[in-house]
Amino acid sequence: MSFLEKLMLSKQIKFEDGQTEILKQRVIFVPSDFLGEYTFEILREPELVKLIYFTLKQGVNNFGEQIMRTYGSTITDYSKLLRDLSDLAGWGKTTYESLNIEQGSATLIIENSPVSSYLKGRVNLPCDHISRGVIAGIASIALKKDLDVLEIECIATGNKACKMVLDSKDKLKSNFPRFYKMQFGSE
Amino acid sequence: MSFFEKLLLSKQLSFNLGDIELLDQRLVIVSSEAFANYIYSINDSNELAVSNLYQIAKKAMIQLGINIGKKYSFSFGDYSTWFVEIARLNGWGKAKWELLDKKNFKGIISIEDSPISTALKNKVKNPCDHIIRGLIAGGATSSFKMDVEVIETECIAQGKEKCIFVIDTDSNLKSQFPDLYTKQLVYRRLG
Repeated sequence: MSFLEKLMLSKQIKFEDGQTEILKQRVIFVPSDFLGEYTFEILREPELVKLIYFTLKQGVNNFGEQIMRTYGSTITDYSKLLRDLSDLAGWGKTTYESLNIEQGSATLIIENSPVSSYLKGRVNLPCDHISRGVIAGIASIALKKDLDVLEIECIATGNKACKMVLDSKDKLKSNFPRFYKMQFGSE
Repeated sequence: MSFFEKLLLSKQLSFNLGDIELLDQRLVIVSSEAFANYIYSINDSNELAVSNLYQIAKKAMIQLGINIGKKYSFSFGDYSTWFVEIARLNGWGKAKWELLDKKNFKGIISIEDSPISTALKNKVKNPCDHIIRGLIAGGATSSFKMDVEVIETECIAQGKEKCIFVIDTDSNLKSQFPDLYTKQLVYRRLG
């Protein structure tokens, strides 16, 4: 049984008149081309890239807390649930290349990411800033640490899949200084 | 049977691993609260970012209309009805046509329980539903086969019961709603 079928059977996905909820959290559907084109537009303005990353990171706090409280009995369950949710939500097929819960670090591989697939060949830098922000926010809640995400490989720049590294800002800065500067500026 | 079930059964909506498609157009699901937080950060301070959000949503919806039109040959009536049903299904609130004047390229859509403006109620000074405003503009442009724009004249975020979106030509909106035009559409010309 697919994750969608399970949610439908357990009535954890609701399509009521004008209000869509998944796991009791309100969601909206948007055309992925819109997010791709908007991402392309903000790449010209590094301040907007940071703004969308940090506001989405903060904006999913409540979503992450509610889901954790209601459904995530353990961090491992929660990690699996979030991967299934991301797959269901159309954000590509996500797998954990590594996951170290104690240290609060992970590497995620995302195949068929909608934004970077849309921007393939149009940009020369990793571009999944919306996904980065959402993953950073949800993971920070789950692991109770302030964590951030760098995208170090991207479909848009010719890689087969997108690779996201989750870690503390200090570690990201020391391990991936070039990507850190591109995605967080010189802070 | 719900509209969602009808779409699933007719294979117009499909959920595959990591990929959602509606009439062969890819969609993603996002947290409305998270996007509201981004809109909050630009709504009253960055007119260019607001304008871009609107214009790009409009452009995406025009393209979607073209693709759907080529493949499914919707009539004007079918497309107008479908558009409102899809907006509801997609979680954008209880959308309803209050006025639809094909001959004069005008329309009014009301939306109750709009997710972004409900999340930003009393938090912003100006109407804030720029994404759905752009999607309506793109949908109406496809439907009318005429370039039209949309201004949000009333918004739940400012204490109104519903959000009201007025569809008309650029020049008519400019003359009828000069203040709102300046805030919501002026950068379309400058940008």
